Amino acid sequence: MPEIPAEQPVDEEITVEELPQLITLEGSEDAPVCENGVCL
Amino acid sequence: MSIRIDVWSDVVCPWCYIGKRRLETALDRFEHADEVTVTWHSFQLDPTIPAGHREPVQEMLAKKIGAPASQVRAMTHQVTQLAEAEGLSYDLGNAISVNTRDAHRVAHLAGQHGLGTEMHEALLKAHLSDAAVVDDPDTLIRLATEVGVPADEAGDVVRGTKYSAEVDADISTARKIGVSGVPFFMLNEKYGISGAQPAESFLGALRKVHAES
Repeated sequence: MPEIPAEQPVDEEITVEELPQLITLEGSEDAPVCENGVCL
Repeated sequence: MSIRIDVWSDVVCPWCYIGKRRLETALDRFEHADEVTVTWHSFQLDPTIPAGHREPVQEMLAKKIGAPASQVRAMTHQVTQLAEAEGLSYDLGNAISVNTRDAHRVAHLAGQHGLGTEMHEALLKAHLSDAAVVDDPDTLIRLATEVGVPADEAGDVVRGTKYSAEVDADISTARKIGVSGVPFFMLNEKYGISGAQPAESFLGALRKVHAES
């Protein structure tokens, strides 16, 4: 099983105010998600 | 040059485990995987489940979507088959729905030890593959210690309220950046990728971000 490289040992806080509007990658909107407790 | 991936996920989310595997597959093929760090963040699919309330997932889903049990079984069969294609063995017929807040608090403790990815993996597997009850204190302590978290620290967190603020902060951040469903992946705080994308999509995104950085 491939492993994800080790993460930072300490959680890095994300400052929302510093985040620009996220760019949604093309085709991303069609992938399945779990939403409102439903994952079907 | 580094790529930071922030992932929002719930430990009871079938698509999150599939998405995790697909991301791992992409990273396995990515030429610069050693420059990537992955940080897991808390998201609760249903924070309104009362603490301590346990219910078979299929019964919970049937009530939630107003569908007969047979329809829910067919739907969960579909996601189980897709999981199988990623090497995951789901047991949704026996999985138990719980409030995942305590599991996320323990995951934050594990994150402090650099074991956030391992803990998230353990919790997803416990709920989705092993039908373990992931609000059970002994189960949470066992899972934490199995990935390397000191048992006394895990016990303190499970029995108390530590890391509640961190869980809330993760969920708050998710809402602010527009996350309504999980898994959700954010690359270098610039690109958002929603859902259990095919590994090829993750790989393409990683290469794009790397080329820009």
